[in-house]
Amino acid sequence: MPTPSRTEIENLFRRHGKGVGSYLLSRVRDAELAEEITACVFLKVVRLREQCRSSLVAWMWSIVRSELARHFRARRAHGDLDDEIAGADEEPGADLELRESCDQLSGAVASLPDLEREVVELRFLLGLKHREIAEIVDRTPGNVSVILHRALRRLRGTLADSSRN
Amino acid sequence: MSEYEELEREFAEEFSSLPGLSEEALARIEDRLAEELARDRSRSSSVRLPRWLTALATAAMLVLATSLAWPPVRNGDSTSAEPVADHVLPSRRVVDERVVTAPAPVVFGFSNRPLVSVDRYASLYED
Repeated sequence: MPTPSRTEIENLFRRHGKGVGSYLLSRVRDAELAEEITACVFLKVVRLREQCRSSLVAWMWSIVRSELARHFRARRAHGDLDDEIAGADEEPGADLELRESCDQLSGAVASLPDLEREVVELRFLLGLKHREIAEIVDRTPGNVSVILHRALRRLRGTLADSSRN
Repeated sequence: MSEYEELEREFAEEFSSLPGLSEEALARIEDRLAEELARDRSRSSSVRLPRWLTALATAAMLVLATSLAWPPVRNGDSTSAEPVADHVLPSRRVVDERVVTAPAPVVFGFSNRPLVSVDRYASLYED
């Protein structure tokens, strides 16, 4: 796999920068923090681009996950986070309006099994194609469709339940 | 439309309503990315010799230095900063040659080394 060029990295940001930002915002619930982590991700893509051994998108996704994990580890180390990383716990000082608008859907997504959750986030937050998702989660594109279908049905059920309650 | 397609469309709308980073935030990130790419460009444009070429150059320098220093200096006659005047002492080369060429009447000790007799040694200084 050749080292990605600068142009490819620029295109990567144009195509996925917003999606990565949305994904991180849905996780950290803080716009400034999400911006900072998003910037870190793309700066790392530039600095470490010679280490890219898979497709650029898949590699970028691995950096997104590691940066997010690093953030949560740092928070844990500072005693700010006691619950599950993916939990819907409230962030002190987070924007209330933002939190409310995120909560229902994010909570439903967070309740999905890990693989389904990742596939849903890659599909709808990053806007990846089934083929690209398949490469990241190491499944066939057909398998990804099945997982996505199952996840969406589950999500619909969860959202319907929560709106009834 | 299949159930799957219907679900995809429904959730595409749901997710698009989720808040994302503002346009200003994205622009700031893009600026930082552009700076980093510019730095990366200047880093990679600086001349960086491949390792094999550096090793080759070092080897060539060693060969050159060795050939300039050859043949090695014998008997240290060019190493002393101030050569001893001939009338004071015979040069070491002369002494050495005479030691080598002199007959070996061993006078002192039991060594097998070809020593120079006292008389012979004194005659060296008369030269």
